[in-house]
Amino acid sequence: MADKKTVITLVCERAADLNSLLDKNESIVGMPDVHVVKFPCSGMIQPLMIEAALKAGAGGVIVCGCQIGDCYYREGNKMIRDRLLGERPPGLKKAVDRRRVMALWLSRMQKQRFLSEAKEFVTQMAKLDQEESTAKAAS
Amino acid sequence: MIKGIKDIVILILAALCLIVSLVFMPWSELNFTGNFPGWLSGVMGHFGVNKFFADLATHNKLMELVTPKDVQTNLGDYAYSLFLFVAMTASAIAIVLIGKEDDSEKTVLEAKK
Amino acid sequence: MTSSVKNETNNNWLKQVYNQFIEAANKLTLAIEDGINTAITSKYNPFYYHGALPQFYLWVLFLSGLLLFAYYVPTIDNAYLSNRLINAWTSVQYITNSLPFGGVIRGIHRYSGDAMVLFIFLHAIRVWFTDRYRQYRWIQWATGVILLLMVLFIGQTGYYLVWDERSLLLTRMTVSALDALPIIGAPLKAWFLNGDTITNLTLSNFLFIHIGLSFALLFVLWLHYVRMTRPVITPPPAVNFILVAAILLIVFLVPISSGNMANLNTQPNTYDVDWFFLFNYWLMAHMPMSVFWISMTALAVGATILPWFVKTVSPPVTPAEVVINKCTGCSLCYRDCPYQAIEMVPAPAGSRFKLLATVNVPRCSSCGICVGACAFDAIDLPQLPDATVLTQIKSLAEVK
Ligand code: HEM
Ligand code: SF4
Ligand code: SF4
Repeated sequence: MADKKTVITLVCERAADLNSLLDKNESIVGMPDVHVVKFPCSGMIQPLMIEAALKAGAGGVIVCGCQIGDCYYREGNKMIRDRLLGERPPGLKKAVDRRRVMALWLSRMQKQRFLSEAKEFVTQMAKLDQEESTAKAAS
Repeated sequence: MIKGIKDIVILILAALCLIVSLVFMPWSELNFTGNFPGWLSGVMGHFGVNKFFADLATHNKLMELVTPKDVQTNLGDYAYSLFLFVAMTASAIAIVLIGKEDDSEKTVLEAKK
Repeated sequence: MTSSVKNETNNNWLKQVYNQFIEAANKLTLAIEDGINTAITSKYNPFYYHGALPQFYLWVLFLSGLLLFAYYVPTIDNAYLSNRLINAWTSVQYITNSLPFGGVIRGIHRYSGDAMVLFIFLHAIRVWFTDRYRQYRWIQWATGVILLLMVLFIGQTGYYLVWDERSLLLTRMTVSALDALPIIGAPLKAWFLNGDTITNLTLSNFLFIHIGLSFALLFVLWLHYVRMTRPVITPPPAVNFILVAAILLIVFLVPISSGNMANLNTQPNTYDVDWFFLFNYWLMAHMPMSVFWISMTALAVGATILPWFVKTVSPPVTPAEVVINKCTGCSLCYRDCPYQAIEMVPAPAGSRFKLLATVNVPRCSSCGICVGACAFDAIDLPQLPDATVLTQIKSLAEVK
């Protein structure tokens, strides 16, 4: 099947301002497979949520918080960063494919950087999918 | 090893820091003379450092630069403060340049073995 | 509450002007910070260490002050000690001109004080413009105002200690300012001078105030930090280097000197104003004393209660809630909460676990970091339960 997998973006509502980039399905304009879920702070994102997204079939997950040091709630982005890196509990399960998770730390004004990174991530994920399906077909 | 202008700048800054702290800071601490304390002067004389220090003070431009205005005493102390400023600023800029390497706006996770 | 509601209706235009101002200020702050991030990355952005900057200079001040204290003599009289005049002014003169590195240390102490005030203002303005000062943060704000007033007063006493003509003038100006106060004026004056007139005891009192209040700062700083988990109080080394280096450069460029020795029989009338510490003396000299006191008090009180007057664009703070029968007492949320809003209490009788997390409602910022910390789905923001988020994520993730 040629169905493209989705990419879930878990974003702090104070980080890169994606509001103007959203269509009415809460996905990025021009990138219908990239969906956005907003949080009051990136520190609220549970590693569990990332696992759930991948398990439910998402191609990848982008976590986006504010610039490190600028968290409105002081240290939320450091918390989720350290959790992703396995330096702070709770972390990601071992089985999670680390290549499918990317974290960005962007200030409110950096939506362009978000767009370019997201675009690159989407193509990378598509490549990963292809590799995996050919590997599966070969075996 | 050296991969571009940035690395060259870092090297220059490191050299500047080294020269300032090995030459100019002791020089100003000795009040722009080569008069090392007794236990050191033999060694320094052997390497010609005391003469080099004394010669430094004959450069008018340099002396003008390192002499603070409105001060009569302890001139060397103020010059020391100036040189310490140069050394610390150089090292700080070098550290920042090195630290800029890692991407602070993106975290990619390493594959778990 | 009722009074603030009345306020909103009465001051609608004021509110609008204020909102627009804050919005513009916020944008400007963000733009500046973005520029700095592009230049030197967030790791070294001084705005992200806004609280750590004054704290760093406080350590510099303690260290350089200790060195000055070793040689300072807090007297004003012209006592001769084997032919040498020993008093505050000559001891400062000795430190500056004879003691090795004395002048430099004195310069470091003076300019670090100025820098501290500068960075306190930067810190206060940043938390104000980025809306980080209200609601659950009111303790930080209120103690911050107290810290600022204390630092300013400490700096002023520092200027008295030098005991040159400016010191004398400032002391006399302070006395007449205190004199102008009803009821509390007289006792305050007696406390300030440590007697009725300027004597040796006055200078030892100044030294006591200068050093005593400096240590009292540490106590107020503890209050400032008490509701913040892991306050960021140390900038990275590269930033520290720059902070010290900047002071050293100014020490070289503008060496410190004292004015003439104070003479109680003369009345000096001009002096250099240090705009970081002595601006209030400038104001004092340019308006009636009553206007001075009323406006200063209004400014201080107004700054302190600012957080309660601003009711605009308040994000609703709905505190996190613990699901009692799910909480295992693992303390992860307690460790990660940035505002010390979670307390671990003994679990109710019959529970399988020892501890239970509880949310201290007035402290909670509704940030949800505890939700991210909990692996047992046991703590929730009522307006955004993680179960809802999880279902949303799952449904979005499914390939359509
Ligand atoms: C001696 C002077 C001061 C020092 C050393 C100082 C230091 C600090 C530090 C280290 C933090 C923690 C920052 C963090 O980790 O997120 C902080 C937070 C804060 N400060 Fe200060 N501060 C001072 C004065 C002030 C003043 C004058 C104000 C305002 C009037 C103020 C208002 C605040 C507020 C509202 C916060 C909370 C910010 C937040 O929760 O994100 N401080 N301060
Ligand atoms: S939402 Fe949770 S982490 Fe955030 S302040 Fe409240 S109790 Fe602490
Ligand atoms: S993290 Fe969850 S389970 Fe652990 S103490 Fe907090 S609420 Fe309870």
